[in-house]
Amino acid sequence: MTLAIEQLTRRFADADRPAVDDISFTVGQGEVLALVGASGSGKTTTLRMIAGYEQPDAGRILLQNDNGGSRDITAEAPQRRGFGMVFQHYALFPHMSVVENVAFGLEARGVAKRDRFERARQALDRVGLSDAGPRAIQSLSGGEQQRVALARAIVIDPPVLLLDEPLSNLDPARREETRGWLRLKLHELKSIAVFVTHDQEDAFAIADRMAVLHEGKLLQIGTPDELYRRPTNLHVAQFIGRSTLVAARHDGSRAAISLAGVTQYAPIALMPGNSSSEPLTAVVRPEMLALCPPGSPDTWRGCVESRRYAGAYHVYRIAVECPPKGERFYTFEIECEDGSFAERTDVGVKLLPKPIALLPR
Amino acid sequence: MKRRFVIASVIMLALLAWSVVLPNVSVIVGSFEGGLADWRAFIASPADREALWSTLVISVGSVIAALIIGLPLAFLLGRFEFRGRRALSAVATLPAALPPLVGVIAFLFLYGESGVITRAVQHVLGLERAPWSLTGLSAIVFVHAYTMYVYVFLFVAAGLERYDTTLDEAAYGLGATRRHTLRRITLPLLTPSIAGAMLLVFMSSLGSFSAPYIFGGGQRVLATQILVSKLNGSMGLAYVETTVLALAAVAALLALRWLERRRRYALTGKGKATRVSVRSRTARALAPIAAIIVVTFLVLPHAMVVLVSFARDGAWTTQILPPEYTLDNFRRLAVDPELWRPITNSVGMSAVATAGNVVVCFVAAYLIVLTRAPGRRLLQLLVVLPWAIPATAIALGLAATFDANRPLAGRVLLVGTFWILPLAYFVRNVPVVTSAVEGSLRQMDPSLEDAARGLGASWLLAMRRIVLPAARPGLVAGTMLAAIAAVGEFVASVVLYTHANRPISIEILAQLRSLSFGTAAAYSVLLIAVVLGITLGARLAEGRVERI
Repeated sequence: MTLAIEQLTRRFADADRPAVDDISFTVGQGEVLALVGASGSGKTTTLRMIAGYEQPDAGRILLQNDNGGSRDITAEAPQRRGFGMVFQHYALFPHMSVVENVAFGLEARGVAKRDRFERARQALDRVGLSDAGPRAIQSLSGGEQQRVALARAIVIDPPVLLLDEPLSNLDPARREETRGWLRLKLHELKSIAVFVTHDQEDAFAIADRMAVLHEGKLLQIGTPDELYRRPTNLHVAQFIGRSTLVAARHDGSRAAISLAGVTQYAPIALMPGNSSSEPLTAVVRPEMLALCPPGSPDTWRGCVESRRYAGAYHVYRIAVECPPKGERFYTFEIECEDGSFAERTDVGVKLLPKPIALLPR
Repeated sequence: MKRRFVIASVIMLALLAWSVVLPNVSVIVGSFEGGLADWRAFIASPADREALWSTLVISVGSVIAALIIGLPLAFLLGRFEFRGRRALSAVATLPAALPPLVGVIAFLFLYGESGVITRAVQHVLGLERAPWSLTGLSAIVFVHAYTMYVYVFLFVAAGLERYDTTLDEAAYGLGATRRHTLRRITLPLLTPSIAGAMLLVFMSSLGSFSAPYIFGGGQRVLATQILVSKLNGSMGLAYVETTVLALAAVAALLALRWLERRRRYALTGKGKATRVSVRSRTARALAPIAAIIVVTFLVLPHAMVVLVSFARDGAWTTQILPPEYTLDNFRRLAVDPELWRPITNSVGMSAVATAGNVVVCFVAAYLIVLTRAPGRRLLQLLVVLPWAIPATAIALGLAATFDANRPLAGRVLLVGTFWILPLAYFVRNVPVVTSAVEGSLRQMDPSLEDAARGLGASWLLAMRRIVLPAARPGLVAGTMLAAIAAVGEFVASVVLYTHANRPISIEILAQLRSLSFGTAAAYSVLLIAVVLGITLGARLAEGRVERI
């Protein structure tokens, strides 16, 4: 089964641009897709349209089965879609026990009491909360509530599982641990899964593919690695991973970056199709740079703005000034094992020969 | 423990024991004055049994009727977007702006035997007699439904505002129908709001006096029986009836509190309340028409009172609408000192009572919320006690306590003086003012006062600059509600008034009795104007607070 979104558009009254603007993508069986973007990018509206809580103004939502048939669910009420949804604040029913919450979807389907409680218990087993059944919702920790919400969503065997910011309510330590757990669970279920997050780390950790949304438009969709190494859009380059955008050219086979009269070169990971003389933008990632003593040949002269200890390495922020002095400078983040570069001293910045993405200006 | 607080606490407890507890004790003691004779008389009296029964029937009926109107209206206005919604929500709380007695006479003008609607229907259908008569249990419940559905509407609307709509969405997503979701999720979670409103309607109906008194049509209820017994001089029986009424109220209070407790969950509404547009085409076409009908029904009583206030007394006999209009009714009120008297009486007495409420209730709330004064738990109990006791019972209690030179009552004789009515108004309004101030003070961070003192502020300065400003929203709202209730008060007044200190409500009744409908309506319009003035004043006072 495949979930296909076709040219979905949603306008809210008194908004100057559509909240969701002509978005299309597909999600296959067993695949986990993350919708990522800043707040206001339209990711939650998209999810709510897939769930049926919001009606699109244009476009279709299809469920295609493997032998070519497809079901248009665009106008179907959420009740009829049978999708599982995990809400941002979990939306657990506060007047019901854990097992009653999980069994609610079966209750709505008219499953006999004994049967539905049995199946609810099985679902709780699958999320590792075997003994929580009789407990009150209020007695659960945030992480437990999240698991109950997942159990409640999967007990109805949904063809599509939707998750709205599933990790945003957890404290950082829990969050780290839950990412791995959620990735395992979602892949174990082998259903179609779509989740919304504003946190790229969540998306990296859990999703097979990511769709980056910005101001209602779908900018790029691909695996996390594709988005990181070969962003096709400046917003994607900035949103995914840390980066500094620098003016660049390419001379046939290499990218050439000139700062303050010093040109350094790197191989090209991705390049716009047009001619080579165009001014371009290079997406410089922290791992593409190294620090050397000031004045080393073929390095940019930079100044250490700050230094932060991060265990195995130090994170430096380096400012590279381009004359006329003070008019323009770039700030790079560089991870370096050597902690001997002091703040407010000069260093040399070396561009390593790693593939770099070039984008049109 | 600071001595100042101990002294204040003792004074407050003594004051409330004297004004709130003692009257109730007097009533209970009075009911046993002749041993069990009065209780036996009560049980043996068919009139009293009928009164108790119809009181309960009216109260339960009013609760059901208020739910039937208030619940759908709250859902409709809170959850749906349709043409006419704004107009409807603007007037949905209008019935609460009518003082109870005024609402009753407006219904009399509209639906009574010679009412406008009654005559119009009679005329159109060519009937010989009025198509219905506004008497008996159903008439009382009808009026109650109109004035009291507002409680249900307001409570449920507030509940829906805090309600997290993603809970409903979650249920829909899990395959539950709208009905199933309403029954299993929405209504159970709104139980505290609904139970609170039911309690309020039940208590108000239990003590309701105006409607049964004016068109009971021989229908006995406990509240009116008490007055009848008192006027007949059978005080013992009146005390028994009062005790039974108060017991019924306390029983209802306990029952609904239990229901409310059993189902109390923090409704942490994070999702904004989104209104859905009505989808069905017929519903969309009918919505504005239905809205117009409901709006008309809600506005009609107010409009009717205003219309009749301009009708010439005596000229309106068998016509559908009053035939002659004049400003005489208002002119007479201003010119005739006898007619002007009730107005100054009401304004003066409610001003005195409300001033007392402001001082006493602020101190009580301060002691309860911000200090560890001894006896503050008892204080908390005493300030809500008048709320659980019907107004007729409070009034009779005051009459029983302050009618003679008793040492226990502090040798204060108030019955027959100016002071007895303000005291009654004061007692009735203690719960609402105190809880309003308490609410505001609880929102204040208690360390603010300490911080001010730590910075060297005197207790008085901290009070003036920190505590009073924090209490002000509640103080303003509480004062407003108390003043509105006092200026139109009828139920306690009818038990305790004398000719010299008769308030507006009593005069309205007297004018009605002498068939001077225009004059009665003119008083009512004046009363509504005063209520609006008080509301406006409170809004201004709040506005000023916000600007500072």
